[in-house]
Amino acid sequence: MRASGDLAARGLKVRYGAREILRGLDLPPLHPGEFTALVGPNGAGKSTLLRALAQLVPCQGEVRLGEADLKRMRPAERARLIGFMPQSLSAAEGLSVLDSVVAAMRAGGESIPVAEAARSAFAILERLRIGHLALSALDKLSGGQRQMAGLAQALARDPEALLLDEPTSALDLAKQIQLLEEARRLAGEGRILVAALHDLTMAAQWADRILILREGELWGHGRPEEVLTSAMLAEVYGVAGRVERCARGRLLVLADGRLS
Amino acid sequence: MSAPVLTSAADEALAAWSRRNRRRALWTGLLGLLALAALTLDFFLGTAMTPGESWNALWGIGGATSRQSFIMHDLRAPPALMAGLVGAALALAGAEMQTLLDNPLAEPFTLGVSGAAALGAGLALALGLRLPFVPQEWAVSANAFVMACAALGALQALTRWRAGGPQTLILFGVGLAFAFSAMVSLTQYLASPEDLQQLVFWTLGSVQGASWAQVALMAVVLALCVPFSLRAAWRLTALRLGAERAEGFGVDVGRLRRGALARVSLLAAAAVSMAGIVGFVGLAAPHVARRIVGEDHRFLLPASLFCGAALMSFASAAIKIMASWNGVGLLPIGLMTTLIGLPVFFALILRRRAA
Repeated sequence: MRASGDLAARGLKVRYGAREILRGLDLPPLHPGEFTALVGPNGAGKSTLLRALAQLVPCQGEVRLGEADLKRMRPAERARLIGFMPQSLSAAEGLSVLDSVVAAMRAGGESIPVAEAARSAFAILERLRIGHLALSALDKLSGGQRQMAGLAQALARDPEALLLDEPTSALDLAKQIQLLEEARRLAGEGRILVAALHDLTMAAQWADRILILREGELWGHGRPEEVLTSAMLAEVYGVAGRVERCARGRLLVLADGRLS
Repeated sequence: MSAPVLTSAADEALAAWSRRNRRRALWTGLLGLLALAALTLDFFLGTAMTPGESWNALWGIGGATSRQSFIMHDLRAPPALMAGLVGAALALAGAEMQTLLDNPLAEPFTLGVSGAAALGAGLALALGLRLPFVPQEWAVSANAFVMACAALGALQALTRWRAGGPQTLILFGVGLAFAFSAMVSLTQYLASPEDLQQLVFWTLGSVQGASWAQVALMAVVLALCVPFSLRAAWRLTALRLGAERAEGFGVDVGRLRRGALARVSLLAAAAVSMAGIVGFVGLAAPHVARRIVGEDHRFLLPASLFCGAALMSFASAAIKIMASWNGVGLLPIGLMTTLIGLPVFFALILRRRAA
């Protein structure tokens, strides 16, 4: 899968009632093959931005993937271009992991025979190393397993761009690494990959680029070493902190305390 | 998408998945047979003839009189078929409603359809208000149907005008239900004692008065809705994972909701206008079906339909058996569906909790 062009947005505005969550945000073009981390304090609008890009919330502004205008597409066509994985996944009792991925394929109007859909769905599960959970009920999975099942569902339509909302929040350290490795591989195949992350050190380690959101606006973006600075920590998070380089050359973000 | 190369573990898992689906299909088929058996039982039970005489009368053999033949063909067959059809319609509507509203307590009448229909019936029975050009014997049904459709139309309009999720829909619906209930009370207050009795009997549900024409109409409504329901099966299954997930998979959730609500409206309005208010079937039958075949709507929808038909037919048969024991005559079927269905319902829930 190679994305047909960049994912870009202009003048994104989202409001919930009187509250403006995104205030005319311009997103720099995100390129195929790139892993972008979306960071920022709670309430900065990270989830809302991902939902707006996937057209899951009503928004003003323009969202394009290559030549395609995502706002003017039917949901069934859009799902082939962009996939979204929410932070928490509700689980219908009685549906198995494989059921859910096949449903994700067939529901969007993919008219392949069920047996073939099941084979494709299982290939996705094997790739995510949860093939052994194929027949397990979704509501019996652990948090981490459910997260992987959610990723499998998001991959069902084989989208060109994949948006992950805090994919590591329910995972232990090993599973976080597994998921981020997988995300890297998915990007490496030519997809556009955006993940909202809280852990800045993780973001520095895994992402090609970091977007920093604050109060519904894009505060800055760039390569990790460009944007992760103590000035950024102070201004965006209100935290006194340092960004250091460890012996192996990696960036470490250390928070010393809150700024009063 | 090219066919992926899979490991032998994959082939095993996929075979197990297929086996599970075949088992679900088999269970669905068995429920269909159960519904058919219940319908047959209901058909051959009655006060006037033994089952053996009924069989002869049906085919006009073994010295059956023309009176007996008339009883079978014109008195027994329409109510028996109507019971099955109404049960099927209510259960299918209930299954879609539960998925649509993402609420296990939802049923076809959650959004005030029954109240609206009762108001329509009340206007015809108590106040003599009839639609123009509608013959006398259809007046109650026609009024109930029009009112039920009007109520759901109002609901559709409200949700279109003010886009909102299931919660909004439920709140609107419950609000409407209260309004209709107050108006039904008003018609009851204004009605004469004889009309009031008729109205109360109607609200308890009955299929005894069913004619062939009504059976045909109910069958047409069901036949119109079922293909659309089945076509939406995958989308409804995806909706069980959450509206936002379904939208992300490419389901036009708004359109799916409007379509399902239209089907539920039509089924519930038709059922309530033909048989009065038959409770519990629309709530319990989908749950029973879900316990047996799971959440995959390819199986859940037909299994619910068959469960509903079976429950209604068994209830109708039980009424006839009870009428032969005592002298009270045929009890309202709406009471019996609850009394018969409840033990089954509880047993299934408790067994699951224990498992």
